[in-house]
Amino acid sequence: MAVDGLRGPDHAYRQYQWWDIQDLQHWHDKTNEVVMVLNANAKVLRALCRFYSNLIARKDFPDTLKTSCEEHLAAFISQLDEISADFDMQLARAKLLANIISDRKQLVLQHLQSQVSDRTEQLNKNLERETVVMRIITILTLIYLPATFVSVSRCSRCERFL
Amino acid sequence: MMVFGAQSDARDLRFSGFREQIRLKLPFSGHSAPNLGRSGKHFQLCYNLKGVQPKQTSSENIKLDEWSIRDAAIHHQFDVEFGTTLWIVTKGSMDLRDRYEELTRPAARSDNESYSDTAACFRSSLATHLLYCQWSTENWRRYLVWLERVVEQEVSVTYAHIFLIQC
Repeated sequence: MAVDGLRGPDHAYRQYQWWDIQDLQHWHDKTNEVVMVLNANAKVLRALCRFYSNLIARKDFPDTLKTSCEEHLAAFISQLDEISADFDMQLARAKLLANIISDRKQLVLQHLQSQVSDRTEQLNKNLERETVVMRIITILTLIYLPATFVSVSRCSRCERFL
Repeated sequence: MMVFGAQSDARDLRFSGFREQIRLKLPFSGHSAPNLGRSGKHFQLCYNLKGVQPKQTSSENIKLDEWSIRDAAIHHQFDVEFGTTLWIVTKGSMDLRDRYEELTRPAARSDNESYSDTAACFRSSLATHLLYCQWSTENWRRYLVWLERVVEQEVSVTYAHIFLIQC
């Protein structure tokens, strides 16, 4: 697992790219679609169940049919209940997955931001090092500049004597 | 009808519904046609269910697998006097029809095969509803497991390049 793996210096960790978040978003959309479809299916099943229980309860429903099919209808309704319970279970699972994905997306986003700040820090460090080198060069130049000046002027005087 | 055809990007999945109509009172004379097995006292209902099916599996990477959510619209009409049953099922492929055939074939369960009286017809209509409902539950668990695995792979370190920071 990389999203919750150790990060920081001395650790090997995954370098995230911007498309990682897009991929996660894609799977998030897919999962949300599943949630919606499962919800719709469960609703249709409940409506079907309600329809048949209302139908059998009606006064104008033929008695012969009512008495001969009562048991079957009860079994039918209990099976429908089972199926909708199954849908509810899958729905809970899909919702959990959607939550997990959205949390991970947040975490990946944070990692991306920390990667950017790490990079900036690295740049700053390099810049600092460069500044030190530049300062040394400046000081050296400053020390040698008068000496060079003097030696050049002496040499030019020597030339005149020659 | 376009909803049931091949689509690269299914947009109409968000529609789902259940409609019903019950007419058990004695109808006007014009509505009954006993010769056709219609008394005019009937109920009808119409709903749609969605199932998921694997479209394509890839051996290299599970991320490349494809699944498709299929829609099925079901209309059912039942005449309470004569037991005449009408089913109109719209679906993209023949699998539901094959299953229905299997259910109603004389070799299938004894109580389904008889359409002798109204009660038997009613019972077999219930069995058919159950068949469709069971079809709609079938592959969801596998699909969810696949989604979970893909997400796991998406954030796992195996497929990513490892970066060792040197400070």
